[in-house]
Amino acid sequence: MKYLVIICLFFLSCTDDRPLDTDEFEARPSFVTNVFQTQYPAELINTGNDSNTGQNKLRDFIDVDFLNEEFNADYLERLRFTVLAENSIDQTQNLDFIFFDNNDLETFRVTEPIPAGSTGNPTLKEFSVDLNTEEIEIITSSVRAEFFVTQPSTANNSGTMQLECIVEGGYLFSGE
Amino acid sequence: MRYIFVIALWVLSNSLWSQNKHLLYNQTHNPQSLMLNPGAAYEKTDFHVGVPGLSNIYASAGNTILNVDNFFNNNDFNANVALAINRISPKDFVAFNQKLDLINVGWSNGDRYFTAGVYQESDGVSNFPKDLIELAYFGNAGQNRSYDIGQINFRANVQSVFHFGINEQVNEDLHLGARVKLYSSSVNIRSVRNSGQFNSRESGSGILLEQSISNLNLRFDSTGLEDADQLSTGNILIGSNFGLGLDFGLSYFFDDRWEFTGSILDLGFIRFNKNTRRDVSRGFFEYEGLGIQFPNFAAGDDLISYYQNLGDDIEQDLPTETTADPYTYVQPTKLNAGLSYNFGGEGSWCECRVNSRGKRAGNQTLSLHGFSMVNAGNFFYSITGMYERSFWKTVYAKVSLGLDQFNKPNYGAGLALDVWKINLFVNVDRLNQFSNIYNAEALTYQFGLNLKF
Repeated sequence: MKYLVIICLFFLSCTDDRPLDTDEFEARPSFVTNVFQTQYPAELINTGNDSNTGQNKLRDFIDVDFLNEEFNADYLERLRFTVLAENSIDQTQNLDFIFFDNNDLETFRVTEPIPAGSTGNPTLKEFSVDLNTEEIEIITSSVRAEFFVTQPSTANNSGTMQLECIVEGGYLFSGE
Repeated sequence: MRYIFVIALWVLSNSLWSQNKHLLYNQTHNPQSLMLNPGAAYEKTDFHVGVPGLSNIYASAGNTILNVDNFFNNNDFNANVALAINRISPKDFVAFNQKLDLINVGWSNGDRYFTAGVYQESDGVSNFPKDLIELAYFGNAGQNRSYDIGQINFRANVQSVFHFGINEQVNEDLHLGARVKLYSSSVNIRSVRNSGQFNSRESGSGILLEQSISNLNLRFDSTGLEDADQLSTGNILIGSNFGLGLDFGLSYFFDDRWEFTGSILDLGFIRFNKNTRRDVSRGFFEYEGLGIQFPNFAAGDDLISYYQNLGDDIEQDLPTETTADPYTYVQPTKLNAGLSYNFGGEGSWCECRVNSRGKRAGNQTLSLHGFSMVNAGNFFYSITGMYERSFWKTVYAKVSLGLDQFNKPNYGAGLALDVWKINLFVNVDRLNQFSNIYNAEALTYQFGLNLKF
């Protein structure tokens, strides 16, 4: 190793005086990936899947503790969820995505109604949620998300609700 | 300063032809030239011994495409980084090579000259996995493309080499030489001949992406990494894995002016069977997002651990098998060939230039040298023209002009002092970029001190 240092010093003597400053370095990769997809029939939400919440409600839980990885806490600067919903149920479907931290405290919530549709003419709705810096700081403390769907009253057709979700995360790595 | 090591690698960038030591090649007054051609027409001193640790020192690192100036110039640094990523190809590589001669002795016996010794060497080469660098730097958002995981291609080895060679003058015209080598190594890594793609494309309908890892066959072999912190100098000097190798060389004088030389070095292998680890990942995995199922909690269904299940699916579809299987490391074999024309006046007071029956004429030599080597699938080669002149048969000066696979001119120079019992040499390559090595992709530096009796 000492020889490498000697050679390095030798070679460094043959240079100009330009600054080798990497403080300006910034890499801003942006990654996009699928998050979830689901489909449920009107009959399912009419009945509900949890006795605690009753009819016309569906809920499920997703472990999202990857969000509070140090990698995200340190470098994540942009976060955008995009959801595509196709609703052929004749009732508005109210979507709630609720994030919780380790102490079961709510950290972030997304609420979006999907208007009623029909089996021959489903409602298509695409929406995105862009999180600001403060919201990113909060959501990266989350370990669990609840997916909660409600409808105002029992559906009368045999329609279905289809959902797709992707997420795009922008990171910033700097030389400072 | 955190990137100083990376910068130092570029500053020291000289290994593209790292094991091409053309300035030392066929310096017949220098016993170290026998290491490049065991059949060289070396002047047959009765005995030589290298000064331990100083007889031949060589260290280098570099890459095929980038230099410091590419990054640090008047343009925006980040624009330069993006431009550099755009410039590289998967065929470009970064390499290093280090060699330290520990013991080197030689003695004559009639028409034969025997050499023996031990040297420590490390070398490594890694291609730039361009697709994965682009994935890391730009991300996959909006790219709609595949990334070739098979561009991961590297290997590195740390070894000690015990060698014994014979150089014989068959007749007035022909020298032949051979050397047997015992390699010992405790540290080796490689990941070569990989395949696989990470695909991330927009689908025809909906917003979900077609994301998959396909045709994955990723192999990583290593020796000594798991207990690297326990490695001592002794472990490195005498490794626990052994191999054999051979060098061959010749020198043939067509007449007293024309000489042909050639050598093939490190025709050998190391069989790694101690402290080995092999990780192999294979398979196909497609990710369409988590399938939310709304379990019937009212009926007592449990929560579904979606991401845990996803991890399990990945492990099932892309299994990684870890074994301690032995593997064989094939040495990067080097080929040298040279054609020399000797001319000029004879030395006046010393006949020690070449004692091989006075075959070589003159005090000046024009020569052409070719070199090739394959390492981890990367082809190294160069063609160099050289002019050498001796002064009073004591001082040897050599200049070279070379072309490499990138068609860049390369000026080099060597100076050797062969006086009394001392042979001292310094060789420096890429002189044309020494005024500002920030513009250099390659430099070579070599030094040695040997005693001849």
